[in-house]
Amino acid sequence: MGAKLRVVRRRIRSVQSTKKITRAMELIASSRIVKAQSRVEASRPYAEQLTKAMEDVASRSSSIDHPLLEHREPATKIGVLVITSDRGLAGAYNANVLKIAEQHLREIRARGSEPVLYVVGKKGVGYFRFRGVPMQDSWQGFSEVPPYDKAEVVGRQLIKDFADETIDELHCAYTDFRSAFTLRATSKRFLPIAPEEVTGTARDTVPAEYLFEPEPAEILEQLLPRYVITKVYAALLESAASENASRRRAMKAATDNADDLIKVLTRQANRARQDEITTEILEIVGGAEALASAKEG
Amino acid sequence: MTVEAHLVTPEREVWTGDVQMLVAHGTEGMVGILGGHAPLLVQLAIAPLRMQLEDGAWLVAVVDGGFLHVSSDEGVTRADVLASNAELADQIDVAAARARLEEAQARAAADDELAAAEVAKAEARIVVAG
Repeated sequence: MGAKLRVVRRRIRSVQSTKKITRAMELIASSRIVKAQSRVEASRPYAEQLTKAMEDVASRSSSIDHPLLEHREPATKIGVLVITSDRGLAGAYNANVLKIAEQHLREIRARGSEPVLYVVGKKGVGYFRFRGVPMQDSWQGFSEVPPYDKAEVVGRQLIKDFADETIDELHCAYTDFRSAFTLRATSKRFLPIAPEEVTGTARDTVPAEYLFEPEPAEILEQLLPRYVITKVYAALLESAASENASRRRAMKAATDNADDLIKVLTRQANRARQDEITTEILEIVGGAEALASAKEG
Repeated sequence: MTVEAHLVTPEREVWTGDVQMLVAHGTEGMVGILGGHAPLLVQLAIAPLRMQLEDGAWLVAVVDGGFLHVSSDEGVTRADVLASNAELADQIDVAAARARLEEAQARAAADDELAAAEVAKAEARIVVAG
């Protein structure tokens, strides 16, 4: 076998094994999207009911006053929670959310405030550490399947920092999962909670008789942190679904590219093989002719 | 008249269905909910939650605190139990709960704040399942 043919065949084998890996990752990601989506769905009833309960309390108490609702003016220290993935190979997923985060940080600095960074996911941690941007806190190891207790850990820390004025505001940069094809890196304000979020759309059919145990203010004290944690959890779940959707898309593109490459390489290998055979035939024919002419002469 | 009960946690809907009566432990005492109950919002303790089904059988679950929210919409009484964690009695892994209890008790002895709650959660599970 000629040298050229051997080299091309070796490349084909290498691309084929890469293709097997990307194909497997594509399939794994597809099945995980479904799971992640159902987790997003499963988390909705709790979030909806909690919001309803909070609106009920707010509508029954004359004045809602809680540290988590406190609007500080001017907000000098602004917290940004960035949610990224632990693993790469997810296309532009991390790049997109980090771009939004960077834009946010620039805006904060332009306003003369000080950004305080919180990062979820190994990729984000690596990104900011490499650039020497100080992080207030970071968490990693659960980006693909975020459990609620992790959301609680993150949420509690953020609430604590907001309460003791380490931060005056909190924004979250994450990837919104609209559908498997539409992912959008966005940024939302989590703290302070806007009063209209708490009171909700004014319902004029508030029943006259409403029982609270303990007092509404005390219940609100328990409800509001839960509400914030639920929002963090929702952002983590949306991001997890987006991560998998993004990975599936990237791996599908990689598999398709490998297919194209194999096609081109196979053609090259065939041509090399034919060239070899042609050369061989020419050699034999040439040799035979030489022998024949030697006999005649 | 029945109550439409929903037992939900942030991670999943644990149980949904119509019940005759729902009995929960609030932080300030027990509450029972029958159909037609006035709107209510109660903070719950780490304790068992009992629901009497339409055939009279009792369904028992354990909730790790949270809230009981009762609302009525066009004559339908709806009770939502919002707990950070909840399990039905037949889903409780007693062996795991016992291990958790022992571990938490050891920490509680070492004066750990969170351990007391852990002890309560584990004990409630053992009581409900046993």
